[in-house]
Amino acid sequence: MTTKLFGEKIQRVEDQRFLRGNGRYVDDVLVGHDVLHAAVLRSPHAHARIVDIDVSAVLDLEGVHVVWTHDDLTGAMAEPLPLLIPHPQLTHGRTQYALARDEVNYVGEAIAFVVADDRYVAEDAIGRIRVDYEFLPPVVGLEAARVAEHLVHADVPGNVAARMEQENGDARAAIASAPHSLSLDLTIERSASMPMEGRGTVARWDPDTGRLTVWTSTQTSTGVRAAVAAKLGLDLAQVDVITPDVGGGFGVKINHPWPEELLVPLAARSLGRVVKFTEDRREHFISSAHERGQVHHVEVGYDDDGRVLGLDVQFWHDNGAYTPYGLIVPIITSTQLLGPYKPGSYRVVFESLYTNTVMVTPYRGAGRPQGCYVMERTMDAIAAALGKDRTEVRSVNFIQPDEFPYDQGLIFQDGRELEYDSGDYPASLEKLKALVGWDEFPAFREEMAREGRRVGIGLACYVEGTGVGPYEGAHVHIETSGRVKVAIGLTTQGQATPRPSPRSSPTRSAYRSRTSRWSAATPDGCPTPWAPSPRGPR
Amino acid sequence: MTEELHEVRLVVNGVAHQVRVPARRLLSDALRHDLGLTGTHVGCEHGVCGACTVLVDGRPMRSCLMLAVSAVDGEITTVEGLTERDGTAEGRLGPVQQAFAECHGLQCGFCTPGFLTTITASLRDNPDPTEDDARDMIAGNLCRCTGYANIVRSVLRAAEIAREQA
Repeated sequence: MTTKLFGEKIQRVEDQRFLRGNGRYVDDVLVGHDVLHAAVLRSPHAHARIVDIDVSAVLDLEGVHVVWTHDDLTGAMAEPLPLLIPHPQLTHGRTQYALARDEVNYVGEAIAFVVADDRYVAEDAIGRIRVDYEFLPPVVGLEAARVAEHLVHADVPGNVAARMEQENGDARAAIASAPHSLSLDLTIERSASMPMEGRGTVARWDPDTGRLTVWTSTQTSTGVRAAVAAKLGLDLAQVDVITPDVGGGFGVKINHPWPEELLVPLAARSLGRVVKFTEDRREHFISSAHERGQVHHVEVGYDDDGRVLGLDVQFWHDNGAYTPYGLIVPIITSTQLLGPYKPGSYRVVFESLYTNTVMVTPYRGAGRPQGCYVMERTMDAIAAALGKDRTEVRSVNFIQPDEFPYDQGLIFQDGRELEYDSGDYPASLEKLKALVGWDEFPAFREEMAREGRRVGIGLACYVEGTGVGPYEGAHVHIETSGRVKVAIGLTTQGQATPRPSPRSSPTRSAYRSRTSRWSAATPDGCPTPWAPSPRGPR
Repeated sequence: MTEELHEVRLVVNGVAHQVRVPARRLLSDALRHDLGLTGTHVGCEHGVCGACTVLVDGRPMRSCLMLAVSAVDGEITTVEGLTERDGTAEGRLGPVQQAFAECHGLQCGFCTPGFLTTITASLRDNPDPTEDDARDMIAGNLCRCTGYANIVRSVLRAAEIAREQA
């Protein structure tokens, strides 16, 4: 690889399509063809037992082709959705059904699935389904989850999905014997991904070849492909999953399969018709995923210079009603929390707790912002307690350039040692201070105060474990014309991935990057069966 | 229950189309699904995000808040109608489109059509906007990727391109 082309301004190839209105997002697929449309009945209650579902008013509605509840699902489709990333400490992992079976555990949980001539008729039908609920007390917020007066899942004691602890050294003893100590309680509320384009799935079954083609707005086409094949009882080779242009992901489209990613293909195969589901914004608001919600308690012991001798962090993670994505988010918080620092000892304990709210998907940073917030607030608190400059306290805690590779003594989210390869944090901080005028700021603040303005300055230091995988599927195909086609399975949501090969290749004229679509298995014979999905730093 | 259908004539990007739609069919759905003009995107279906903005007689309108049957008297312009004729089949990018390409004013591209239509109309009213004016022009459109800085830059650049071409 050459660095010759790095830093060059390169026109994105997809922009011409996007600017002319020729993008091809999932709801644009097969427009003008004979397509049926799906809609989903979602729970209006956070916690309820389903006593009865009456679909009789829908069955005779003109234009309605399918009305399904859990009773209509068989085999693997009737079983819970997969738990994507199991972990030994996730002792009470739970996932939902494609359609709720006996109980709903969050507002928005899918209960019934309708396929009709168009979305309007499908929504009419949804409105006519009658569900008899027996209300159960909802558990909302971490406080209620911890008190556990009520349970989200009757068979999960204390609402605790997982408890995990890691320790490097004896943090509690170090804090007890430290010259100074502090405790902090730090809370972060929930956030949502909210891409401009919601979720969506289109499926077409070809009875002649026995193949299923699925278009879905996802960040992980190969994962959806595996899930669809497993749930519908098809061979992997019978399923093509195509990711068209994606109007933003931000994490919510990493989770998979969403119920509709299975129900739409199932309906397409059952009916022998093209079926499309396009989530609307209201559905996305109430039924997609959240992240961030955590409460942290910090105990820290330090010396006169602000050097951290012992750091003991306990936190509680609100994982919502189900745990399809395992413990990735809280594990990342617990390990990446240390950032560029080397506390004398560190202990972290977290509980991942159920609440009657939407589940968690890794969202923009995936637990890292919480960890960074906790660590940086702790640094500021130490500086304030000692009356020291905030950068000084950070400096004395940095891992030094001659200490790399540096092993934090913890196990990271990927099951491997949390070892940092390289870095020069003191130089970075000095550069930052010069750039923002840190040392000159007190004078600037006084000057502003004379004008009646109150100004402040803050800083945060951060190290991120990147490059998940690291692996990527690729398919290089030489046409008889001599043209070389390179396909990768990495999808894009605006990162300009369709041109990575020319950009990093020393012989870019030899490459023609495929630009129209990126798929797990493309219909034109370029299978790229493995791809870890675009997320975070990838 | 058979829905009554209405014969509607929609003039879009200078071309007249005849469609039969129920009274409740949104203009956004009629453009996308009946006419196949999928450049107009639907982001929120309640008039907040601006992605579905089209021009009706030159004025920006939320096509998700308008019924197709109520658009019969107007000349509709969608993002597909913003390119300019230059003798080629696809035409050349209009000033706003060109500015977005130059200033990296888009990433995933989903909100882009609504920005392009909105800014096209706004620059007609105010061909020489300040940066504050530019921010005001796009205040009714949401973008989740860019953080707006490059979109503001695109507005100013579009005005420049339009002046250069005038």
